[in-house]
Amino acid sequence: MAHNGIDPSMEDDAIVQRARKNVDDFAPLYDRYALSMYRWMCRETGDAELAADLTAQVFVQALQRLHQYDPRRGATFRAWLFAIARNLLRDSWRRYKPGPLLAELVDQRPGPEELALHRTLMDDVRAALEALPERQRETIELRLAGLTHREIAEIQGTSENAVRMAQSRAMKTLRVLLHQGVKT
Amino acid sequence: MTDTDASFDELRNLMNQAHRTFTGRDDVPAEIWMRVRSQIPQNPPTEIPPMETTLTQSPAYNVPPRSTPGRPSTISRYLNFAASVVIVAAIAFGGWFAALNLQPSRDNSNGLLGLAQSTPVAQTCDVEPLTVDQVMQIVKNPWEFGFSQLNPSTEFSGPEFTEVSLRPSTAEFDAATKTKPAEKDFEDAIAVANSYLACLPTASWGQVWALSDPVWVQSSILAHFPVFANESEVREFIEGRIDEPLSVDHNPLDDIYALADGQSIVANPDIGAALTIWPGNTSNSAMLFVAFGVLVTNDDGSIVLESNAEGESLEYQTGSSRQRPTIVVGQSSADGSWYIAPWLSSYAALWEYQYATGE
Repeated sequence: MAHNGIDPSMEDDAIVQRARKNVDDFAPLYDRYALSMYRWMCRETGDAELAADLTAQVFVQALQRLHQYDPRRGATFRAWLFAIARNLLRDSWRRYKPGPLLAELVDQRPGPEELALHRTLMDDVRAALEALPERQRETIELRLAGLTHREIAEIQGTSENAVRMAQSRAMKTLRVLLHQGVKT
Repeated sequence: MTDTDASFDELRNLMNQAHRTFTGRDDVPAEIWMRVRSQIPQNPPTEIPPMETTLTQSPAYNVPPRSTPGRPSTISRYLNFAASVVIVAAIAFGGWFAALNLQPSRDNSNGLLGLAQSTPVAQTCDVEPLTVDQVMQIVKNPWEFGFSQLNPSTEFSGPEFTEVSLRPSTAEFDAATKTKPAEKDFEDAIAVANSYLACLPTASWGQVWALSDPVWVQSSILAHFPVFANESEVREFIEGRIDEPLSVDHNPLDDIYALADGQSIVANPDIGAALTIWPGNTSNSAMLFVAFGVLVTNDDGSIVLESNAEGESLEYQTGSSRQRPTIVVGQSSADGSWYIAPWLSSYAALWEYQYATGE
């Protein structure tokens, strides 16, 4: 994707400034976050097509509301973007039926025998995530998407320590669940 | 690196591997950016303020801003919003009339006045709206009022602006135990359901909030704040919305706005068409829900549409809409009050979407 001569290492906020004048200058930010966003949506929906649609909607909303992003409020652009995604997902739960777990879909696909062990483990990981309390699950999902504890704290309106604690608890639970094997 | 860090990295690797296996790729489909670009004009609107502009209102979209004297831009936004509502309402009305193959009303009846005599209904919305302070109290801690075990998180610690999302667990409802309601539960719940239906066309947000599960009220308000929201922002948002009518695009049952002349809608008064739902030990846990179908009648009492709690049409007039609203009412574990569960009340939402039939 052409970046209109923008240095890919440019800070998010500087790119936002340029993107407000020229939408195409937003492209580096898209490149920076689209994959983690798409992965998150895939994990949430278990539907690649729906995930692509939601990912597109997130970036459309971000572009439409770019003038509302104000770094002085303390949130990074990434936190702001994923907060939009979080809200969109919540709205979407009412409209869409979540698809089968990602792992279930994976499990249905014929694959090389040597991947069977991975698939089984992924089944367990996916089911274990579903078993977490909402806050812990969201914390893990946002961490998987690459957000820092601070950014997650901004999104959830809580403290960094609370996020760290949620992650720690989640990982302990995941370890137990994965060790025991998750029953779904 | 801590043990948790190592575990997390392992989890991340597994999930990324799962993604690759699932999608067959390790990048983003190119058409996503094309979709984004196709929806955004080449040149952004010139009125976009520079970054230095202070954010003076909630970043919510489709939110009616407060009418503040001396701020022309606010008035302009208000007019834009009003125009949007009119357009959406017109589309909704048009769709409804087309579906029913009926002529639009000339006397602008609200659709509830011609109800069949034998059908119980709250004909006007007489629900006392919540005050701003009451809504603020709910936002601070909805569990004092609502389905306190709806989300079993124990991390909520009082008056902070932290939202724990409601995840409409339709799958859990689908698997839940369903029984015929006890008569008392049915009567209590249907009264709330009918108040809700009567209020939807004209109610203010304050009235809708009064009928709705407080946890949903909190969730629906805080969902308009992409980042941490402080008290003054939330209060300002509530003040700006509380007296506003529920707009079509926020109404889960928007076609109810568009009943034809003389038609009325109530929760199906047949107890045999209702269901009690015991979700069991799930994220919708420990609460009792009662689900209703609807009964839409003409002013002569003839049935336009009758559906049951599972969104199945029991009877419908040829040419009528096949939309089958489901109204779900739950009982607060905090005080025993009955509240609408709006995130579950939709067009056959509980069941139809299970099979991904779409909107």
